[in-house]
Amino acid sequence: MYIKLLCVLLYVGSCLANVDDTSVLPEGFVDATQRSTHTNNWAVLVDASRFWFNYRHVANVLSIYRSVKRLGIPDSQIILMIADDMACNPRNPRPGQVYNNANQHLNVYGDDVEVDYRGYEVTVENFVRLLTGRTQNGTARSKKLLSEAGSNVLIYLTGHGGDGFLKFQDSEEITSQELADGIQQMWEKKRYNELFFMVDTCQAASLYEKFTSPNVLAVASSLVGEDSLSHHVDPSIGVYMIDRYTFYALEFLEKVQPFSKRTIGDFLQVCPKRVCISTVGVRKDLYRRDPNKVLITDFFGAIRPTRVSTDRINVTLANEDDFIVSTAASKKPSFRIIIEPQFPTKFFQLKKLRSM
Amino acid sequence: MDTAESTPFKLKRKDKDEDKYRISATIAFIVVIVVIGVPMWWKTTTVYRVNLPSAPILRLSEQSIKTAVQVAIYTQQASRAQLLISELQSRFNDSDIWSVEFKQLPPLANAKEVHTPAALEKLILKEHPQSVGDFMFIEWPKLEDELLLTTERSALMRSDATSHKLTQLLHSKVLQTYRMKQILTTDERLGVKSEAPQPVYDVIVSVLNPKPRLTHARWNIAMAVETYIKPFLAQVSDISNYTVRTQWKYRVSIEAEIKQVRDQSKLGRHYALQESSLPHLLTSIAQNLSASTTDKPAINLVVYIPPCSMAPLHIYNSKNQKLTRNGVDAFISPGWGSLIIANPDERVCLSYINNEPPLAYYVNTNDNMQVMLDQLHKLLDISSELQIDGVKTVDIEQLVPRKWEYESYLRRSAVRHIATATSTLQSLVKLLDQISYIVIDDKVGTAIINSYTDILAAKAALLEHRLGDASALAKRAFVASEVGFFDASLLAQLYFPDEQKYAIYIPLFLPVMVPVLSSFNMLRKMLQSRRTKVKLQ
Amino acid sequence: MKRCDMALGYLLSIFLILGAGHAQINIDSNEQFHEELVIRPLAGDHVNTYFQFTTRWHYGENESLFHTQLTPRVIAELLQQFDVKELHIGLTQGLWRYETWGYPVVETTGGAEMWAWFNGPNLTDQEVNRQWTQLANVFSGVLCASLNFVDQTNSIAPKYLLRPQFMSGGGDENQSKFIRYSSLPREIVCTENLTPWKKLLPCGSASGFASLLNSAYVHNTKFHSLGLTVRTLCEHPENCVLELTQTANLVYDLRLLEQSTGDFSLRRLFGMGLNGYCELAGSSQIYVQLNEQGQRYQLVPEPTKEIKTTRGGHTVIYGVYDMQKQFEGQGERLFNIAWVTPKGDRKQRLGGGQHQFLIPPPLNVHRYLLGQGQERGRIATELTNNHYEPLPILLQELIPWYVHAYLHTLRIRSRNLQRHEYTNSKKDLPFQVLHYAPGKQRELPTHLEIAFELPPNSAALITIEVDYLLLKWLEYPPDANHGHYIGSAILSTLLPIARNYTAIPIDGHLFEHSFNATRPSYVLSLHTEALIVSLPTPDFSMPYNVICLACTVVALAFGPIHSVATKLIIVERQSAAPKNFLKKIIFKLTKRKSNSQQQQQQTEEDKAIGGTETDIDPTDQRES
Repeated sequence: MYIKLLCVLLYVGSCLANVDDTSVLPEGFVDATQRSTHTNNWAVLVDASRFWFNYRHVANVLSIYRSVKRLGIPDSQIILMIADDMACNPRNPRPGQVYNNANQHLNVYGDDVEVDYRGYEVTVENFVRLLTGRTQNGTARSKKLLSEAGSNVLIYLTGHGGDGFLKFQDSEEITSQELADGIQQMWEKKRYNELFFMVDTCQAASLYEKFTSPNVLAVASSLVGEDSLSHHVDPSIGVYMIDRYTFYALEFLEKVQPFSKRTIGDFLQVCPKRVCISTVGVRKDLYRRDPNKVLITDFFGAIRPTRVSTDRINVTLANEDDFIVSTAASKKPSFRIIIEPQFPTKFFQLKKLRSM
Repeated sequence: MDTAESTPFKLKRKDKDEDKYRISATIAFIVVIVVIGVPMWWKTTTVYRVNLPSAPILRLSEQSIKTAVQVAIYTQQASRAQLLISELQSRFNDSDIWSVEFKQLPPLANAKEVHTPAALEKLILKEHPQSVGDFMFIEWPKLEDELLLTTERSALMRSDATSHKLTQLLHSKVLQTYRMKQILTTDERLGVKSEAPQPVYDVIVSVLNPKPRLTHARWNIAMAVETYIKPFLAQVSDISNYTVRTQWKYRVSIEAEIKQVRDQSKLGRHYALQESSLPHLLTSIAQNLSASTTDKPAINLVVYIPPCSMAPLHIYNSKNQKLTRNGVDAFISPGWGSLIIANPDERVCLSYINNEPPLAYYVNTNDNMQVMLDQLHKLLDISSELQIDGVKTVDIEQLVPRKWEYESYLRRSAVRHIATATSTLQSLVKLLDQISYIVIDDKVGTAIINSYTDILAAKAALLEHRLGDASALAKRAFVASEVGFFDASLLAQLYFPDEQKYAIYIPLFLPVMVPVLSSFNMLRKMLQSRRTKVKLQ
Repeated sequence: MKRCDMALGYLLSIFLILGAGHAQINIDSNEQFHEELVIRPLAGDHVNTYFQFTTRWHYGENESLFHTQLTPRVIAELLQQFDVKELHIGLTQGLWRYETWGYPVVETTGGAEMWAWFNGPNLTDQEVNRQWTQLANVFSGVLCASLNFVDQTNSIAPKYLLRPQFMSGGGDENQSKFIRYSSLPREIVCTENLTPWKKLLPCGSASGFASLLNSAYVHNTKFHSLGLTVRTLCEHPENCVLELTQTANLVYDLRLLEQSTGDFSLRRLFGMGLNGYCELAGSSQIYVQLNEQGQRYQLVPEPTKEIKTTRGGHTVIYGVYDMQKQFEGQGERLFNIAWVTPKGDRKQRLGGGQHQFLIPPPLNVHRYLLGQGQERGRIATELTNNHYEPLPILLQELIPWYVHAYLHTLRIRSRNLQRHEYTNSKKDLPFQVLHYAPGKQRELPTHLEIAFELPPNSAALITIEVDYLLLKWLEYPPDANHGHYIGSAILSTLLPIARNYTAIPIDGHLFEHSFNATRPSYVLSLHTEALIVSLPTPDFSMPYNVICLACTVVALAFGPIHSVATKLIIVERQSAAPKNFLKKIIFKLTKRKSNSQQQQQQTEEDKAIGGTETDIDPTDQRES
């Protein structure tokens, strides 16, 4: 009895903590406002470039994919868009593999990858539909962003961009206004709790300039007027492997473990100008918390709230033995398989041959 | 000079005769281009938009959602009830969420004859029937605790129960004011983070047996679910419909740190799973629960059978205390589902330790199902777990949830649905007003209008004491508002702004319109001259 | 009563304890899973490895589809949500070479291919269309493929070629059956398809044969194809069998395995040895072909059993490894089979040309495109019959809407194999059946099915002329210059002999069932190559320029027409005006003065020059 009460009290504690951080938690008000309130994580990772010479963009997006997956976001909550197939591209001398550096240290494609939108499916329209939730009728569940008011969403974009736009598939563009509108609508419909927007492209900072929605933290690989540069070339495949910013971001993320205490503040320091050549742009004015107090796993990992619950409802509706007896299930009667002929012989006069 | 001047203007008769054709040609051009062409262009390029009640929708949130509840009080002395009612009334008067109506029940003549509270309640209900969402306090002097919540719509109170306690009980258990406030708050940090109850759910019971070669666990999970889970869900499906499915999953790898702990059992050890690693355990399991063809959200109920190489497995907290109670090791994750660790019998693992061939055994159905039922109560957010001193709650001993608890859930869901639908409609209307070239087709239009009228009706029903109606209307409003908001057609012309439209049409219209408009001027002059001619004559 | 139950319970548990030693565990006998791997060395240093995973569930009332054990939940849901009775999905990369490799166990075409049979009460054509696109969407999510591109514009309802392989068992024969077929030749197949495909297996990729399917090795092959087939066999609705067959068909090129000797092993093919068998499998067998091309090798270790199977006069010998026996009572280890060329033969082999001579399979097919330019062309399909008997041929074409086919140009010409040219003079082969559903721009593809008899030892050339359509700006894919695909044609025939024929008989479900399965005739279906056409591709960079140009043309045309219709041209005689420049000016000035009281002046200067246009102004007329 006492034990039960005790554990009930335990819940009450956790329950109250959920209700009102400020009054219960000893950390006081300041820390309470810094505490993350998210309940799950989503990631939207987009490579917008097609063609083999854009290998590096696929490597970029797969680097982030690898990290978020390793840190615990399940595939069902990662929307991966890849505009072209690099791993199984006939030009790839190592089929089924994509590396982030020339000495093939890390196969970012891995053996367990699920691409949700690929090839021609990667369009501006599909991307905006994904963000706003206005997907076409019948879209598979794994192709939808089903985030809710408690979701922290990571959006990563890479491709070729310019001042105020990002090219998709070399044939269309998404503008910074469209992005800002999409995110604003997510906010209006309470489809995110906090949003971390990362973009690795030329003049990347121009893409987050028009954002107005609250709780958005944005980081870009280069400022307006700057190019984002690639890291190095692999002579054996003849193309650049990865972009500088993502290369160093991956290097940082590889050292992060699921329980790591590293913060987003640390992550924003990644790739200083002397290694990146471009200046990493950060936009914090829409974000309420101090990035130095936000764990990196708040966006790159997935820590669902759990609580131990050991109660039971004391109802017994059947004898334990009833279940055992019924397990010895009856064997189904078998039957003859009769399938209609697979070839319409009636049209042919080959009778003599077939009648054997 | 005069002749030289006038000759160029001397027109031939034939030309003069043709003048009327020229005039009619000019008029024809003007008619075709200005009277027919331009309106047609205008008509064909304007987007179809259903008229929406934007202003009233934006005003929806001004009027707060207020719920009427009737609380009856039965005491042996009428004076006590009166006193309590006046005190309680004053406490609830200034509430902007509740409009509580307290009602005094006159003492019954044959009350002395009954000896159990249940019988008394029955007697009272015969005289004063309750409707859905109502509540009742019944005085019962011989009570251990100050207040005792029954499984019906009532609570027993001791004779010395104070109105303060009653208020507390109403707020925290019956009405659950703090949760309502959480729903209605405008501060997004304090607001609820979960989704509003959806109209349909898949409840998926998964049995995980990661080492089928070593663990010969048998279980008629289908029958277990049909016996326990399905009937229970049938009782609570006013808000959502549930489809129950079960599946076995094998070879599921679990990524969590597990430590061996020595103990006094026959096996000599058990294994400890840290509470902090439960989220990661969950993630690795979630990866392996297979995809679904349907679009329904899922509630995952997982029964994990640890192989003997790491069984029995118990959950430990960060202070290294074992959290197992009544032999139950389980946890829930709201919004996702729950997990039960079903440790194999001791004898099964004993034979494993002794390197005997694996022993087949049956997983205990009643044990696991009882825990699962409790988990479902919590996951569906039906149960109220808040505890107050001096207030006891009667344990549930049947499949049906406590009535007051369930009705509180209905009330909460209705308010939740209304609030969500309102904010969805408002943001949608704002979007549609802002971007004037989005098509609003009939489907979206009717969804918005239906949702709006349903919201109004649901609000009225809440105020009028019709909880059942209110919850059905609110659910309908919620579904319609979601349909409207997420309609795929709303994206159709979202990114084809007006400037582009003009950029395309101007090269055509400019060169065509200039001569046509200038011929207008000519016609005007002609009319003028005719008029002067008439005057002159 | 209760005591009785208890006693029964005890009895049962005793029984269980006794029976616990079995390898078969916790599996309802109504549900079975089998894994099979067939390895066949092929001509020309190629090796064909064929994986088949079969889940067969004999279920009762519809209700129990809610509770799955070995069958993935998705498949059970599929049968509940849709009226699908049979579903085939194939994802393939590469081209199967019939001449040198014989016929494969399962037929697929490059890219993605999908067909399904629908059967249910009150099904209508529209409802089937809706379910079909929905189904494609579901599997685009399940298999991470772009199957969501399947819709009405690229689906057909084959009439003769694809026959149902399911048993509806409704007892109601009037219920019509509906079929939909579609293929996406452009689809690529990579790890993201393999991963979810493996997740459908009860053991996943953790143990059993599926653990061999590692992406780096699977995609290193010359041909790889993933297949998924679901069918239901119902005697009546309460007594049904659900069959899920997952196949992986790979062809390795040994020259790419960086070993010149031509020897190979499981480890070399798949990167690792076999780690055991799937515990849930009723059987785990590896079949290795020993005769024909297999004769070149010695196996290490030797197979435990040999099976000689004769089918349609054709004998194949398989060595069998039963993995459950191999791993019995042993701890963890990796099992490997090596194919080693005997020492004496090695030199010969390296010398080349020592491969056993391959008899080409009886029927062969190729397809190509004729004609030049981007306006019109001709699709030619060439069939070769090496057999001494005539063969009945059924051919199905799915021509996408952007290619317009002309039925009247359809011809089948034939030639004897000794000759090299198709003579025009000879009479065309007659059609036995012609089914043609014309395409509709942007809505329906052209569907053509023809049947004819192919004479012995001869070849036939089927040609049809086509036009390529101009697409709208937004209908071009981002890489428009890559070209557009025309999916492969499917061809079906009835072979009298089973040479090179390995398909599983229709009433069986395991590869094992093809052993000694002699039938009067064998239904063979083949796929042709897919074609790629380059449609006229515009310059996408200048849509606005085009709009401006078009508008300018309209404006230029409109201006003069408007003028001619509404204005009068007057030719002015010049005699009155002085010729001297100075006098001209004076003349004008005086004229202006004299006209000062008149209202209309503007056109004066123009008139001086000569002919000019003027609005028909009534004031002018009054003056005159």
